[in-house]
Amino acid sequence: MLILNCPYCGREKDETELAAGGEAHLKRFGPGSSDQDFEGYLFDRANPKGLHFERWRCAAGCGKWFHAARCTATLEVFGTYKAQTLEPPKTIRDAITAKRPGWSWRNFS
Amino acid sequence: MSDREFQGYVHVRQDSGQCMFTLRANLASTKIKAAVKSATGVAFPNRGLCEVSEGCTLAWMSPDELLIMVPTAQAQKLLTGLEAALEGLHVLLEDVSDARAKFILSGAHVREVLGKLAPMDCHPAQFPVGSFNRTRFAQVAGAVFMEQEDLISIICFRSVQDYVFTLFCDAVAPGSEVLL
Ligand SMILES: [Zn+2]
Repeated sequence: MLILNCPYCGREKDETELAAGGEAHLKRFGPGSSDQDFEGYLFDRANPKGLHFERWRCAAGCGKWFHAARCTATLEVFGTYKAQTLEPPKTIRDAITAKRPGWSWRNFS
Repeated sequence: MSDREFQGYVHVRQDSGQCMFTLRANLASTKIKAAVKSATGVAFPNRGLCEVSEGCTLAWMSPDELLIMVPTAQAQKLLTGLEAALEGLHVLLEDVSDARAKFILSGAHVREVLGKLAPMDCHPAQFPVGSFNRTRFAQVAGAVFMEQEDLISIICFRSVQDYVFTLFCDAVAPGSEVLL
């Protein structure tokens, strides 16, 4: 069972109270963008075995969207953080580095 | 509507004598906090908590939602006072009484009954008296207020009130005690 701490209401929420929102930190490409960028925005998703950054919603809870950094293979959670950011905060990156030195994901490391 | 009840190893009762208002606003704003406090006379609740004074309850629902519960007899006066106090501020205040239902669980083993139906840590260290949590009861969304060590309020949508009442009656059925 995956348990994530919601950074808005502060409660430990189990998987059945959460709604999965897929990959985090997507950049939107809308009208005027190239076909390749638009296709990537719509369909190109990382599906790693290991470290991943995801969006989750505190569905049976405060209702807010937040971000989580976790390992898809072990379900180890490195941390959760608020969605009002374009990249994982330093505390989250440091927590991952402590457990997985030399990690990288998309453009982050 | 009549207040139905059921006596199991914990007592379940519907409480239809409460009005509920939803306030959507930035709960971190000092102006909002002061306005609510002056209109209700209740201390403003911190994250994950409820505050009660003279029958009026304030519950922290999310960073931008507050639930105000008050006995029906006091409701209209309170609503008028809230509207006046919040005048000019960026808020949404709505009477949601007809959309909600409230149940009361009472008895020594209320924490156990809650633990049967909600995926939350019901230990007193994690959910002390005064705590408020939004969660689910079996298959429907709801909220729970730990009023006293042996008294819990349950709030759900009125559209699922029969489901929730039946659910709790089932969970308190004599013979179904776990008593760990
Ligand atoms: Zn939450």
